[in-house]
Amino acid sequence: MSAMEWTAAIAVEHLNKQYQVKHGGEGFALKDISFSLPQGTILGLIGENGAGKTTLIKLLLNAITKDSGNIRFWGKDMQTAEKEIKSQIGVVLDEGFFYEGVTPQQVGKVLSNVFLNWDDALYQSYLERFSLPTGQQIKEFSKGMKMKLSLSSALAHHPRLLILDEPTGGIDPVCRNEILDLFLEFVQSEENSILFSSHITGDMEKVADYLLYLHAGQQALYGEREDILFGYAILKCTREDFAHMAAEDMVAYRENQFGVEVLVRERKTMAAKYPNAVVENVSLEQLMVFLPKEKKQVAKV
Amino acid sequence: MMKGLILKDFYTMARYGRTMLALVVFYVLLAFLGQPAGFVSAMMVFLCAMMVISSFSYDEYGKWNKYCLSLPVSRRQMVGGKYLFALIMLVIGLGLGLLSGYLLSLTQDISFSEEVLPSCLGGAAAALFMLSLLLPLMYRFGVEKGRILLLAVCFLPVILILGFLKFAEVYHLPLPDEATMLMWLKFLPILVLAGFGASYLCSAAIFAKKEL
Repeated sequence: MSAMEWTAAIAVEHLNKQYQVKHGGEGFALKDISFSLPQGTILGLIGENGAGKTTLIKLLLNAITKDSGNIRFWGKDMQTAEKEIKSQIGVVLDEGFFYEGVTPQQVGKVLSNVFLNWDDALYQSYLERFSLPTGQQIKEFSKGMKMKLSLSSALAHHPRLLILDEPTGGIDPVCRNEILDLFLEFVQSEENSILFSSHITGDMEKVADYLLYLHAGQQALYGEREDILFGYAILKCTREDFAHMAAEDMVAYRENQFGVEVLVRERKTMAAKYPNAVVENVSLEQLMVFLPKEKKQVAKV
Repeated sequence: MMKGLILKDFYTMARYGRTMLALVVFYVLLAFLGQPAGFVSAMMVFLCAMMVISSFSYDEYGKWNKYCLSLPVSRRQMVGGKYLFALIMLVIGLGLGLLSGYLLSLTQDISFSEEVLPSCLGGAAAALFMLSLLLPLMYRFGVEKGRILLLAVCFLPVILILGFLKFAEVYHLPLPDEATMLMWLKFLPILVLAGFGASYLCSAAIFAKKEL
């Protein structure tokens, strides 16, 4: 493989976007976001509601204009190669698709006239795989079926990159697993990549190779999932032991009826320093709850 | 590319179109009951033009434009597709109007060439003019406000003409005679089409900067 082929599917550098509120005030802002999505991998975009996930996706798709920073897809700029890039991306948005009175058959007809590389046989095979009735109006579909249709229509032009906003939100576990399996299948081909947002941390733990955690418009964490999760640990200790802990060792803590849970870095050092405490792996969900409250007490359970 | 966008509008409006057809039948019945055939034919052109406005609200409701932007379709093409759809709907409306007017002229004592044809063409010109004003407004302000503006857009020409007549009366300006009016009327199609083109450029410029 040449160097070009290994360029990151998405590379973002120092991306900024500030929304102006009417009458002059400052609105929501996305500040200094930098990350890259290597080909053949899955990047999970996590964060609370309103953290900026959808804004970031809109910026990537050029639906809103950035204030500053660089966004490149396979080394190319959206400003100059928009059509070329978009013909190689499959997108599922949180909001925005066909009017619900149309049928999957009609969706296929329209998109086959939009994408030069549309593969109708592939589209039909996805519809069949997900048992979607081709002649039924979308409004009669369940939420899971709608998502499967969106995915089928995002995949039928052989994209190299999927950008998906909350593809697993509000969907039952069985259906969600089918969707996650599809993701893993898609990245089997080494040049294919996925960026998807979700606040279902379990989904991320299952499939994401990289994580980008947004908090209040800022990049709170970015890196390989394993590195991030092994970089932290939870210390469980009594209130008395907690009182003797050095403040600089705590990232955040939470008191409960049995004692105190403390989020720490450098698990081995901490385990040796505080032998009375129980050291546990941290889950993504715990990280999301603890991290925004850095140095502070997390709300009691 | 464009074909896909227009196809989408047709699929979206298919159900609505059936309701419209029912209305067409209703108007034709009205005509048989004595409404002037010219009015009925012109109404059909307007009904079809209204479909364009409805397709806008369907798009907004489903947030189609957001989705469409993720496809390899430029913003200019998105606007162009809508304008083409408007033209196609007008041609269909004109066809329906002329056809129904022709059928009516067979059974009633009216002239196709002197009554039906002029009112259909006049209706088409008026509809095109209305859309030319309205589409950029809808791209700028969205459908809801656009609907309110529709009223203003419909009354604007009336107010302008009445205003001009009043102005002419007060200052004793000569009103154009019938011959001059007819001469101007010949230029009307060109003027209206040119206005439609200008309207497209306007909408494209508005939509290019829109944050979706």
